[in-house]
Amino acid sequence: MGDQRFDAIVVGSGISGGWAAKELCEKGLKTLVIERGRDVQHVKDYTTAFLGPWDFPHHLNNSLREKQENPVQSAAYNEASKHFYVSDKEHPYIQDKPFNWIRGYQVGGRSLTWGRQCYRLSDLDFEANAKDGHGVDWPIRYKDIAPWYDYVESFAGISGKEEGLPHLPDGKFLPPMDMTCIEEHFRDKIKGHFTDRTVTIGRVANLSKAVGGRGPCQYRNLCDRGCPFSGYFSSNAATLPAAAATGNLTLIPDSIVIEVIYDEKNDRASGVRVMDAHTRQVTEYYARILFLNASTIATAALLLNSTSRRFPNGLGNSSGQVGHNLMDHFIGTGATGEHEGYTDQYYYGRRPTGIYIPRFRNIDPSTNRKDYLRGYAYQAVGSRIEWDGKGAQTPGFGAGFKKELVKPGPWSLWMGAWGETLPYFDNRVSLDPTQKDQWGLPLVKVHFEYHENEDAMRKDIEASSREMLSAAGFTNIHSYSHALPGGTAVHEMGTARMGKDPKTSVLNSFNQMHDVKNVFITDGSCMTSAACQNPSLTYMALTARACDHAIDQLKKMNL
Amino acid sequence: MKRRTAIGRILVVGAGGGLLFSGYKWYDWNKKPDLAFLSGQRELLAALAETIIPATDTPGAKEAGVHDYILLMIRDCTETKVQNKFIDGLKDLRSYSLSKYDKAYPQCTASQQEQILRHFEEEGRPWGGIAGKIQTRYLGTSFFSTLKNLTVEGYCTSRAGATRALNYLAVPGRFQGCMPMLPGQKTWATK
Repeated sequence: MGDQRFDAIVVGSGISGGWAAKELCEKGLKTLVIERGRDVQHVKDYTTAFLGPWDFPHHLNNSLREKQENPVQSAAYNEASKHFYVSDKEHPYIQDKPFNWIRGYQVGGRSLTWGRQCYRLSDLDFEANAKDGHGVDWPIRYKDIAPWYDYVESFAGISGKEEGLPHLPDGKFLPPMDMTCIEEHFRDKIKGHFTDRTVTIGRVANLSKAVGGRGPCQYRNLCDRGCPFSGYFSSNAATLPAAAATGNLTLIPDSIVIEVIYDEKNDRASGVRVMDAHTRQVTEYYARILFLNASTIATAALLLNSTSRRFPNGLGNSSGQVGHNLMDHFIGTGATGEHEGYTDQYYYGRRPTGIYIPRFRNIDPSTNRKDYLRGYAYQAVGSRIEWDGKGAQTPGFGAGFKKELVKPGPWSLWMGAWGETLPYFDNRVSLDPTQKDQWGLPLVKVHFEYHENEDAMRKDIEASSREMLSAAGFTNIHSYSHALPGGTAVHEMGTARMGKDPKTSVLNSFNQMHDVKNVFITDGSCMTSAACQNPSLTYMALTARACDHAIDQLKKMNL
Repeated sequence: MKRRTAIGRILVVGAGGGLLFSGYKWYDWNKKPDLAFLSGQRELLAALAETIIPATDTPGAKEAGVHDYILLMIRDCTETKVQNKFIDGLKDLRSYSLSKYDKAYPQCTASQQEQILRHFEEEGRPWGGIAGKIQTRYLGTSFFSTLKNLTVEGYCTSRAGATRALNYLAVPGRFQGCMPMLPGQKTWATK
């Protein structure tokens, strides 16, 4: 039994699990990190990192067979990154309505393949539910999390530019990356035409300067293969090595947590039951505190599968909220345009981010909309049309065609919105009562739909993106709006929300379960509302904050 | 143009109601593609790709191995309808070349090859506007468009094309947002 007892257990090694591991280990706790997928060693296991497109059989394209076998995941990967995504066939789930559950089961989880955009939430977001009555009130405000944003940004390394916007607070930034000529043009024109809009360079967890022996970024823009230069933040590059350096970390890959063990006598979680993914052997591990960081849907499933006499509907689920209020940002709406100018200008290198237009709707009385609540932000990229666009545009063939094909084409700008989805009780994760996976665990069922608020916002996005491109002198403007399935933004959130009242929420203001005090949940499931910012930075800050609180409570013998 | 728009409208009705979908056409598009025939067409594909992207001061499609890329892409990454259109197109082109010049395409002179390909380019040109979009959606990309698209894609992502005809940077090391174009500036090979 001696080997199975730890001070802390962390379930999952992705972006938030990695942070929990680092914080707990650095505070001196013997910490067990349990990862259901295979081990991925930093650098050594980035097997495709240095390959050119010609080194892949289909030059990075997925085959039809690939798409048939992995219809969900294959939309997110190519031949170079496939090994960082699960197989749909091996990891089935039930889609009540189409929902893309994009997953990476491995050490580092999706921190290897994430989009790396990092934006702080503000009181506009933390107060939103209380103001318009959707969902429940966040139990925290910006001042509670601000120092923790500082803390995680300083370690992770976020490149960005200070803009002084109250609703998108500045952070501790590394030097900003350059804008291209057309992006600078766009920024200046938007500033001239609209008083309420700012165009800034993307805030991104790529190191524009080396941090703690990592990086700097080499501007290859091949991040989703894993970075041999440690040029971006991942668990593998940053938090797990820091945790390991303390000597307090034990990491076990290929280990599936099947349930959290609840000790009714002491009214606490005593540990977890874990199945070896290959041998199916089951082992129990015990600890004083537990951090659940399996990802929004998986954490909800784990809670629902952890039933006891005290919690017949799932661990810590006396509120009945576990699995409910699933959110994702909605994407798929925006516009593109071309610009005739700047034909003597180009760029050098491949920048691993775009530009960003922070939310500008429903910020204050002057920007209030009658047709919808909350808002959206744009990500955009301005670049020259290159061979992949020019091939089809240029008529004919032969030497003349070839000469034209290899020349940079006109500048174009693409912009797409990330919109806030309201927390709807009916959007939920549940467990199928009969169907099981190959490990005997109940299949996860996802029910997810968008509603009128998101539809109304989409209409405005089409209009505002066209308006901005037109104001900035673009031509050949095309807007688009595709109602993509939920999950497509890979920002699942909300299935174990934070809140003030144990009757209507699962976690308290320190991400601690109202019902089971020694269990902390700091992945996306804790989110009370979605805001429209890319959420990972907030998970990092909440994790560091929750770890600090947990240590404090352990010291005070409250846990 | 009017005729084409009219056909487009008929196609919309046809695809919706299934009325104008003649059994034969459906069979023809969805039949099992003749992949055995395709795999024997390396030489023809190399010649066709070379006509589209010939060797100049930089390598042509043939040297870049584009024909093997096309074979693989048609076999593994292309839906049945487009596979059939492509393979049928190759067969048509073989007969056309023989009947017109009494020679197989690879043996034709460069100018004869251009004539032949121009014929197929014209034949495969999609209609304008919405009718064209519907046409591509329901009938699949034409033989010529598929050939040209795959040639461009295969060439620009090949080692020879990317590193010698385009500008390939394995490790740029820095990013500069605005850089004056140099004389003869070539497009970056990757994004």
